[in-house]
This record gives sequence, C-alpha cells and structure tokens, in this order.
Amino acid sequence: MTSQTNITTKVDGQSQTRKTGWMVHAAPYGMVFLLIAELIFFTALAPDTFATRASFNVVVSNSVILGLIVLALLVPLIAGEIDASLPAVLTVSSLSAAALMSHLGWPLVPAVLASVLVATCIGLCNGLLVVKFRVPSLITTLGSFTILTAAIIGLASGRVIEARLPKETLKLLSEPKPLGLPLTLYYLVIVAVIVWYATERTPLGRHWKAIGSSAPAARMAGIRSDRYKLFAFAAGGFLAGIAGTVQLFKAQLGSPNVGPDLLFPGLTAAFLSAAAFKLGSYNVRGAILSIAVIQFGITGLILIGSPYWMDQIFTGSALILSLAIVRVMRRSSL
Amino acid sequence: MNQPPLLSVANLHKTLVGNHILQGIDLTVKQAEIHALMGGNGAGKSTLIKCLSGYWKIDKGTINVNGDPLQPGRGQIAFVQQDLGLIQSLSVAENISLGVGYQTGRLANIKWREMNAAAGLLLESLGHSGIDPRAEIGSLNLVQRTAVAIARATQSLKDGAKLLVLDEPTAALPITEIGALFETLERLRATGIGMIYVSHHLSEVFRLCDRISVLREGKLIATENTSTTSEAAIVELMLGRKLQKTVKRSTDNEQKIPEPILTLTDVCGQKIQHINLTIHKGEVVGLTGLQGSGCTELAEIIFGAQACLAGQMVLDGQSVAFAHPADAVVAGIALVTEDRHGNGSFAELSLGENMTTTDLRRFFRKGWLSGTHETAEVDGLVTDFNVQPPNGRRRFSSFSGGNQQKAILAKWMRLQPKIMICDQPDIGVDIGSKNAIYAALRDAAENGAAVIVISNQHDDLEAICDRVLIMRAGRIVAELSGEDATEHKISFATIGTQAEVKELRL
Repeated sequence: MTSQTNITTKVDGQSQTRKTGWMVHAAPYGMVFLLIAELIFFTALAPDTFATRASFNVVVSNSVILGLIVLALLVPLIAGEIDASLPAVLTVSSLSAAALMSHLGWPLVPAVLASVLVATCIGLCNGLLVVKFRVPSLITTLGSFTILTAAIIGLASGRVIEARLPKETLKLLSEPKPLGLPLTLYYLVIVAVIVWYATERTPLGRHWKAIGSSAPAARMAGIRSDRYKLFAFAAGGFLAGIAGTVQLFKAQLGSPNVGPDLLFPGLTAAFLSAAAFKLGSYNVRGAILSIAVIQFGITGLILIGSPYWMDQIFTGSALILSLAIVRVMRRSSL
Repeated sequence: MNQPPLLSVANLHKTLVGNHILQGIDLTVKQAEIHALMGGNGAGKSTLIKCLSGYWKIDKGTINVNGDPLQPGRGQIAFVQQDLGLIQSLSVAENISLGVGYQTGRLANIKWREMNAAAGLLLESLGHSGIDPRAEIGSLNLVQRTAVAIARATQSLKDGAKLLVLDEPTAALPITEIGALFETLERLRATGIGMIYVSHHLSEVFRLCDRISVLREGKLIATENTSTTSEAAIVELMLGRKLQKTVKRSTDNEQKIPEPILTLTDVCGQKIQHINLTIHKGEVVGLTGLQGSGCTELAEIIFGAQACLAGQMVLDGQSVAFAHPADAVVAGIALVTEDRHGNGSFAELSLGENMTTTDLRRFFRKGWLSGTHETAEVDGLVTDFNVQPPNGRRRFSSFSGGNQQKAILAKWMRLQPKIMICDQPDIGVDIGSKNAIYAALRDAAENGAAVIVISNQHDDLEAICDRVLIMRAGRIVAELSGEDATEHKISFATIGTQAEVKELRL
C-alpha cells in the first residue's frame, strides 16, 4: 500500500496532465460496458435461448440469495475486516427458523425473528474475537465457518428441514410477481438500498470506510474503531440472517447445502465490487453490478454450450483482471 | 605505525538528487579506537555510512579498508543498524548465523549443536555468557539484543577485517543499561577492533570514544581527541557560528494575564517521567528533544492515545483522564500526528473525507449525509488553507506532502480546539507550506487557542514560539522563554552538557 502511495506521489506531476484522458473518466463504468458487451455477445450467439424471459428468470433466481450474502459480506469488508463465516450463518438461520416452525411449532414471525437474532449474535461473537483478542478476522471466521458447517450437518443430519407452515402463508411470501418480477428480487433491492444508505449516506458508513482505510488513523481522528468494527460484524450477521430467511421463503424449506457453497462466489462478487463505480473501495452498487456480470455470463456460457467448468474460469478471470486493471487505473485516477 | 589505518576515506563526494550531500570528506579510523561521528540532522552522517556500506556509489574520492580499496559485500566492514535488524522469532544462534550461513553436515542438515556452541563462545567473548544461544530474540532484553546484533556483525567480518560501524546503538536502550553496552564495546576495542560510533549524545561519546569527528552541512569540520576537547567545543563545531536573529513575536501577549488552560502534574507514561507543565491560552509552546526523549509520548498522553500511568491532568479547570482520543477530541484537544502516512490520514479517502471525519454528524441532516453541506465546508477550508490543487474530491494520497499537511491542519482547526498539538508539522513539507502552517498556528493562538509545536527545527521554534520546553530522557529538563528562546540556546540545551546528564544518571 505504501509503495503504491509513493508511486502516486511521484508521478503526480505527470498524471495531472494525463487526467483529462477519457480512460480515467470511463474506468469506473468499465464494468457497465462489460455487462452491455456481454449481453450483446450472448444475444448474438444464442438469440433464441439467451434473450428470453426464461433465462432472465434463471439469472434472477440464482442472484437473489447470492446478492444478499454479498451485501452481508460487504459490510465488514468496508470496515477493513472479513467475515468468511457468513454463508454458514445464512444456513444456520434458515435451518433454525425451519426447525423452530416444524419441530417446535412456532409461528412464522417469532421463528424468523429468533433465527435472525441468532445470526446477529454469531456475527457479534466473531467481532468480539477479532476486536478483543486481535486474531486476524480471516483466521477467526474461517474457524467459525468450519464449526458452523459441522453444526449444520449435526443439526439437520444432512437433510432438508421442511418449514411446516400453511402453504398459503409461504406462497404469499414468495409467489406474487409484482410487475412480472419475482418477489424475492424485491427483497434483494430493499436490502441493497438499506445497505447502500447505511454505507454511503450516514456517518456510520463513512467511519467504517475510514477504519477500513487505516485503523490507526481512525483512532487518532477520534473514532472508536473497535465499537464500529463490532457493529460491522453484527450487521453482517444480521444481513446473513435476513438472507437465510429469504432463502427459506424462496425454497420453503431449510437446506443444509445452500450457504457454504456461496462462500467463494460471494467473496468473488464482493471483491469485484471494488472494480466498479468507486475504484478501490467495496461498494453496494459495484457489488450488484458484479453479480449481474457474473450471473449473465454464467447463464450465457451455458446457453451457448460451453463446457460446465467454463463458468468458473470466467468468474476467476473476471476477478483477477478487473482488480489488476483497477490497480493500474488508480495510479492515474482522481 | 607501519600498519595502514583500518579505514581511510579521502576527498569523498556524493551528490543525491541534485544536492551535494558529502563535500570532500577525509576520515581515518585507527586500530582499536572508537571513533565518534557526530552532526545535526542533515549533516550527512547517514549518507556517509551508506557510502561505506556500498548502498550508495561514491561520486569521487577513495575509501580504503586496511589499505585495500573498499569492495562492498566482502565483509571488510561490519554494520550494526539502528533497529538492530534481528529477526524476533528466530533464536540467537540462528540470527548470528544468518549473515554467514549455517554449518551443515553431509545430509545438508544444519549442525545445531556446533552452531549453538559457536554462538555461545562468541557471546561469552563479548561478556554476555548469560545469553542462551537457543533463546528466541523476542525473549531477550534490549541490551542482550544489541549484544547479539554486535556479535553477528563481528562474525560477518572476514580475513582479519576489524572495522565495525554502529549507528546510534543506544537509541532504543533505557538510560540505565547503556553502561552494559559500553562494556561490550570496550571488550571489542581491546581485541583491536576499530569502531565508528554514530551518536547524538555528547555524554555517551565523551564517556566511550577516543576521537570525535564532527560533520556539518556535508563537510567534516574537525576531528578532535576526546581527551583534549570539551563538550562545549564540540557543540560549537556541530552548530557552527550563527547570527543571533531578531525575534519577531507579537508583544501584546505579554500584556495579557496568562490564563492556564492545561496543567499536568507529575504525569508519567511508559518512558516519560514526572512531567509538570502548564500551558496558557493564546501561547505557542515549543517542545523539542533528541529522538526518544519523549515529546511524542507526552503529546499522545495528552491526546489520550497512550496511557497516562500516573499524575493528574487538568483541562480548563476540570480534572480529566482520557481513555481514547475520542474523549480528547470532544474535550477540545487536537493532535496532528508525526507519522502522517501511518496514523494521520486516510490515503484512499478523498481529501474532503479526510477533513470531515472528525465531526461528520454535523453534516448528517434529516437522516442524510448532506453532500452539499460537506462540500461547501471542504471548499471553504481548501480556499482558506490554500490547498493546491483546490479539489477536495481528489484522493488524499495524490496531494503533495505540504498540501496534505495543510489539509490535516484544516481538519483540526475547523473544530476550533482549545489545545492544538502539532508533532513535527514540517516533516515532508515544502518551505512555502511550512510557513503557511506556522502562520495558521500563530493565528489560532491569537484567537485564544493554546498551541504546542513539537519540532527538531530549532530555528523555526525560535521564530514562532513564546517559550520552548526541552525534553531529555523522558523529562522536561529546561525551559527557555522570550529572548532566551534562541536557536542556539535551544540546540545547546537539547544536546545537554555532561554535568546535567551525570545528574540524570544518578
């Protein structure tokens, strides 16, 4: 980081003149262009299958839960920490809500509230471990990820838990399609707007960003970094709990497999968010755009008949390339 | 005297980025002598050392070791860096062997037993038989670590080479443990090893060294025998003759009755001891001292960033104890930190975001962080403090050092603190910005704030301060005010005379 700063300072004189270049102004929107190019490309190659409502619905259906978990991951990332256990927290929350309803006969609302509370507490515990014992967050949360994954297997014995609620209630929560779009997409949009507001339009979000940039500097600016970090972990847990709830509504059952598989796709999209709109900072709009680029890309690749492993090559290269480009662009950007 | 000197440097010149740093240095180091190298900041000490180590190529002149031309990396000269350069998690023997390689057996296995035994013998010869070669560096005290670093350096000398360069080896040592280090160095001297001892501390130099060379502004001013010179004479050589400046301070301050704003009574920290201090409204107080004298710690204790272990702090008539800088900020204290990149700024955030972090809530209106209010305030500050280029949206790290510092000053000034502390505000700052910063600090004082400036630039302190406090080894040892606060007197008090230092050691 320091070496990069030095470079910026050194080339400052020259970069000021270069700054008028269109590349610099276009760079934050590079991924928008990529998405458009991708849509045109696949529409041209597979007009009958890609440019259809069915494929769009597949993309949305695959994106909602992923999107929610990415938003959860984003909050600690902005505050300079990572919580890798969140995908497992998602599963814990959806399983526990399902179990409370089917095994103990709880009504929907208390069951959901309790499971979201559990998720928030798990986030808080991770935060306490990181803040109090100064264990690096990646290590701490990989540990809790592993423990939670084991707990999930133990709890559910590897099977799904059906949420035994009147079908009408659950249907009401997932079936309606306002404007012809799945209801779950609206959940994602609402949560995204809230997270965007909190991270970009409140002092809380700005302080998270400052702490993420330099915790020692935040301390010397009079910001109580530890409290803010703790809150970021709790917020991440809360959002993972919400993601678990939506997953329960969507599938109408708690599944032990959904969460852990989202770890790498989720982190990929969260990291990729720093390559759009606000170069070098994790941001909500960038995260949503990243998910769109990845999901349309994967769906398109399948529809033009690529081998099944192609989507992972696509996702991996997108991540590496865009962040490398961001590094280069930032040396000459504002 | 048939033997050539251990080191002979003749007519050495070195230019770095257009600055003629070393201008014809002549230096000789004899067998079995400890040769002190002294000089103020920017005198050229470190450049000279880096020429000896081969880090810089010399422009002109010759460097001979034992009569042979210097070939860097051949083990002709050994170096002990200021930070010792030891690896904390490795053992003593491993650290010692790092430079010269490990002894290995037939299966490329390291012969630990032999290696540990050799390290033990080496340390014993330096008078440190108490150090276990298998102990981790992290478990040793500072004197023992220094001894290990010296042992490693002597180990790296090859083929009868006998020259050791020590760069401020006492900088990290507690004052009580310097004696132990000196014993080690005297043992080395007895074996015929010659040493260059870089130091700021006159008392140490006079206690240990045989000869003293003084550098000033890239020239070797003189080499004196310790036995025939005096501390005062060396200080004169280091400072040079300077014209007494006429002090241009506002005089109306003296007519006001000074009103105390901050009082410290017997304040102690990790390194600072029994600080008693009163700061008044509307005055600019300078604070200076050699590296490690405790100025920064004192500032951080006042700001709540380091623990105040004992003593009392009274701010504006109320007893205060800050557990976190956040408390100090609320109470009206601001600190511009010494390490701008490390803990003074957010490199990735915009300049404006850097300036508003301290009280963002002011811009949070109707549940919305108001961009227009924030931008208006930032634009106003950028204009007031003449930040160039005047664009608060640019990334902080893209600004020059001087403009970064102006922005940081603006960030604190806009809170209108009661006490404004600036720790080395001139580091990495161009001369124009520096003057602007000092003018802004004077303005703040005129408006009733108390300003504390920590600086090593004694001419600047003379120019802007009403009085100057001098710290040494964690204590305030002198106060110079009014006409007495001249650059010369400040420098003299900072380096200290033997009598005073002796008093401290007892």
